[in-house]
Amino acid sequence: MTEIPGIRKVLIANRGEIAVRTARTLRRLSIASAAVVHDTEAGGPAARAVDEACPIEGASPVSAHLDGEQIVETARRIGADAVHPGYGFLAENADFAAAVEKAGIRWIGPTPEVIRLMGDKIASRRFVAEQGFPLAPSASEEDEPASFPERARAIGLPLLVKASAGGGCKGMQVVREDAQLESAIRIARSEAERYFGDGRLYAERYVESPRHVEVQILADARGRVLHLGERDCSIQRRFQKLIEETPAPGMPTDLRERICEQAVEIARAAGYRNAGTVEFVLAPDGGFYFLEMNTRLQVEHPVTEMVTGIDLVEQQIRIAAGEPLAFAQEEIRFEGAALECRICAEDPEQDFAPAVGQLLLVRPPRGEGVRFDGGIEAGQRVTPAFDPMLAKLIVHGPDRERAIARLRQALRETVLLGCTTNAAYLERILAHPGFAAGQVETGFVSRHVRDLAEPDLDREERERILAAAALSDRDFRERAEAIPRPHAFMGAWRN
Amino acid sequence: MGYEFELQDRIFQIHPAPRPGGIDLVIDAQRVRADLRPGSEPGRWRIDLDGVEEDVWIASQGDVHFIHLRGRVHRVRAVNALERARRAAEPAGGSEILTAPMPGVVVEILVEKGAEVEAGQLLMTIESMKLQTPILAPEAARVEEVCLSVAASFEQGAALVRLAREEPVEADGASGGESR
Repeated sequence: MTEIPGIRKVLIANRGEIAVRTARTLRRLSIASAAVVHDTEAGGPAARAVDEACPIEGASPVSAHLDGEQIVETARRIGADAVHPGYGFLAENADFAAAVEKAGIRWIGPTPEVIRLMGDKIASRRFVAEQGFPLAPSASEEDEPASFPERARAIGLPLLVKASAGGGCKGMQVVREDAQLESAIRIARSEAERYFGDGRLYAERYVESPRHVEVQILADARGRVLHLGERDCSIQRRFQKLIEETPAPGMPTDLRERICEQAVEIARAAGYRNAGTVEFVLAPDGGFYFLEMNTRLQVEHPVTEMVTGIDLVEQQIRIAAGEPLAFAQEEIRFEGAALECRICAEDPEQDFAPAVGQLLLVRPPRGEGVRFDGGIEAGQRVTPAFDPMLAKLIVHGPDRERAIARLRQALRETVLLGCTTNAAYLERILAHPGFAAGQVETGFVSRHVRDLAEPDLDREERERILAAAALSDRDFRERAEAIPRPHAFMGAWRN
Repeated sequence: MGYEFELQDRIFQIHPAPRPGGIDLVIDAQRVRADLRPGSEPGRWRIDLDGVEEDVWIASQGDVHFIHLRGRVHRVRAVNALERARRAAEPAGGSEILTAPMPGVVVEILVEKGAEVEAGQLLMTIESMKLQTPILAPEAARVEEVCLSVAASFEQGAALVRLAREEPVEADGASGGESR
């Protein structure tokens, strides 16, 4: 019997770890859960985590998850009261949100109009500027394409040329010298057209060594907006986040309050509803600029959950059901520190090329304050078809230092065999004295690339590894056992 | 005669060396007393090296052994004698294997075993990180083997297509005009 009146069944329009995580909350709230599943993932962790696994078809798994019509039809057919889009895929697709609502099903997220407004980089920046909030100096091509290079130049160097419709790392070029501007525009436009079908660009001042700080927002249908604190996501590589944490290390209390307040005001001005995140660029001088708003749940939401004790997916569902927020801003408690690292199928020794393979053994770490959000299991094939992120490892501690120690320990205890991952690389970042000192900024991993390289093995460790491999190798063992010897040695080998 | 194992791009020789009551390993010319005993869970073992025991997790797939020791995973590949012998026996310049430039998935295959292809002809298309790459015949050849099927995933360096170079045209045209 559902704990949230009006929401008896929710269809999760996603896969992998976020589908598993969302299903966990639905189960706790006694809400029937369903997920769309492509046949390549039939019987996988997400399919087994829900009450109903609904097949969706598509030439590739990704195309199936982007087929909005099929997903809406599925939701209607199974009698879902609401659709939870997770992150990625169609989570920020206003047309999909509108189609869900048009079918008489609740959309767990903000309204399509707000998604349209804040999901578009150019539109959201214009809106935020009009509301009087600070932005990094920028120029939009849309205003007047002919003068764009000129206006971009006027921003001052270094600058960033970006796809307006973009996200993640695609369609971004850093320009440090005037001579690079023309080709940066050309490359960015071609990538923008290729990945987003939209070549519009904008340019903004590139803050060197910035910190990426974002604020979690919750807003209900009555217009009440709260923040659940900030997250620092500065540890990135090629614009992909690797490690996220809360609270932001070394941030003065008044600065934290100003950033969080501003996020609340921006969300309120936009008429935001449900969960969302406002992202800012924090300059070394303490100035901060609106970067963008994500009109969905973020990958790194668990760190906020660990310090506040609030289940964000539950809040999303309650808000979608029309409930008012059950707590006031002053009632939210922030305890300790939490960090998350993204374990990805990538090989740091091959310039982070995507790794493939079959997962042979998956053993998550356990312990107090340790949370492992993965949608993986032994036997699963890791292919380049999906995002390389395999799992998130999140840890809570009474303070940052202890949380870092706990996370390092948990990473070492995480056993993932069969596919190369970046786990050891993540541990080296966490072990770095600069990280421990809180000197986080988006250039951290490039700056310390030599320190973060895989260390050589000493002879003893290498011998141990080779011995373990040789003694596990069937051909080697057979060969060894076939060697004639003067004395019997039964019992030396035990399988 | 020993075995070769590859670790971090280096090859190491490992020989089994029997002794009274057990077996030693000679690893890269260093003799060690080694024993591997089952641990407390499947996949978990105790590796004993010269009397010092440690926890280790191991999973193997064919010739590749994944070893999780002291919090880090290492990939050790057994380079077995049969493979070495086979490679040494292959006629030089007979076949050419086209390998994958990076890990990916096979999107489409346009030729089959036995097909005669021209230089530059599209043999298959692969996809990595959402970018599609054509695999072209480097020269006129005959397809000896298409090593993977559509939707198969592969690692960097994996064999994709094996081609046999076209025989040179004989002076009197007796080959029947096979080459182009």
